[in-house]
Amino acid sequence: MENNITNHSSLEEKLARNYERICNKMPKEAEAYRSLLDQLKAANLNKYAIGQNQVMPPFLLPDENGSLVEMEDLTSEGPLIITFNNGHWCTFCEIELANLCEYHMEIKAGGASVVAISSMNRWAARQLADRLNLTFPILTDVYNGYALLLGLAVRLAKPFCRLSYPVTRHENTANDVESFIVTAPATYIVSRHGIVDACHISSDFRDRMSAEKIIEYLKNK
Amino acid sequence: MEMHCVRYFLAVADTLNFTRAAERCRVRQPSLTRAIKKLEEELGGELFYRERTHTHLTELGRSMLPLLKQCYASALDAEALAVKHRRGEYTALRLAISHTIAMDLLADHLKELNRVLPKVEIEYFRGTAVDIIEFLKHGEAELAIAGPLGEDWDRLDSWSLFDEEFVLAVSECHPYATQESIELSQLCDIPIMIRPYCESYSDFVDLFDAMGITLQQVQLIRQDGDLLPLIKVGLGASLIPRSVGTGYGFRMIAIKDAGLKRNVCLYSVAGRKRTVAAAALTGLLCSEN
Repeated sequence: MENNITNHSSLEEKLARNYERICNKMPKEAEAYRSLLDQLKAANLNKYAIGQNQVMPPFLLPDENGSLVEMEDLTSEGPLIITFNNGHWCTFCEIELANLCEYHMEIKAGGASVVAISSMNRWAARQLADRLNLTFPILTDVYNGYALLLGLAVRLAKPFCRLSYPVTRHENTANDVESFIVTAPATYIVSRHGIVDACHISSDFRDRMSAEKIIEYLKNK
Repeated sequence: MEMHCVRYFLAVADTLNFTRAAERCRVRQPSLTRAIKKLEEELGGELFYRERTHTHLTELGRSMLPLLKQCYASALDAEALAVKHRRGEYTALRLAISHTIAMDLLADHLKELNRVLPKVEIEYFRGTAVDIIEFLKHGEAELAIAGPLGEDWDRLDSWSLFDEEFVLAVSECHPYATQESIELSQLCDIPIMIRPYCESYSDFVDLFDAMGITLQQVQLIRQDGDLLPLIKVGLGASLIPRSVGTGYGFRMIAIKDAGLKRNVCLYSVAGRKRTVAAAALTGLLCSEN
């Protein structure tokens, strides 16, 4: 039950309960999420995506208010936490965003800043930011181009795309759509020199880097 | 997905020949074939039917082609932006805009672009659909914003920005001013000002012919800047895209069941290197859709 997920549970517990809820109550979604697992595994992301100790390609992307945000402006102030996220249609991503937001003040106190990057348009980003009371920006990566540059773009095939259709850009109707390209969920900690200090690329959507882990990392750095 | 695999896929999809695609990508053919195979494993099926003289796309290949084209073009933009640029560094943008696109639609984005790239030099071109294509083909413009260009040029990349309807713009004292909507056939009864520079003009002419509608007392206008004040003083009415008349202070009447709409797109030429300014503006404009 969603209302059983208290604020005191860990991110891991919240994600596990969300999966349980979907499996128990939403069989079509559960089937779709299971197929997503196969698709993420087939993508072999940990082998090919930008990883630890590599240079993070700088970005210049619009936020939900239409302002361009430059990676170097953020890293010049300290480490940057980037979450690649599909919170507009994926409840697991939404839970992860809420977890980051809950600990945002502590992360900031550790000298780091946070951004989410998603292919959702800025109206959807603003809606999500308002709904979750986010205190960090959501940047729009149009058609997952930055994600492809990093090696994080994956194909999402039927039956999953039907669930994500209403909030994913596509000209055709949902039933005609065989596949989408989306960004795999991932978290990067980028140093002030633009190097990936740590990253967590999820080949299982239930497995995320928690804000607590990020804070621990920042403390030990 | 790896970017180079997508590049090789797009080259084979374009040439339908592995040898020519390898030449175009400047790689050895076995490397290209391996990359395609890897992409196929990831996408969960074959992308091409490999026949000696008739290589062609499978159903999966066909369905992935437009998605990967858009994703790859966007990745090239991200790559252009990933080059460290210092504020205050000179950059240029040549932007073609159709006669039918109000500058109000772009002003905020151009201001934001200027904030991030204060030394950006922008040259604007205005034109009809035919002019826009020529600006892009000859490299005079790097980006263009317009309605449907009616052009089947395979190097033309398009990014949908928004859809909008055409409405009848009339002055406050026009006989139709109090109506919420009218039938298309009612256009026969009023003086009409024609916008032949509009990308949708020939479609409208065909539609009027098909419906047997003959316009009366026609005035031929050459630009929206001339048209809008004439509508306002009541010299005639005109079919305009809603965004053209927004904020102008006259009435805009919906047309019933005629389906008069257009899709405004951002256009560029596939395969051409993008400037930082063009890539950033693309991100700003497309993030709204």
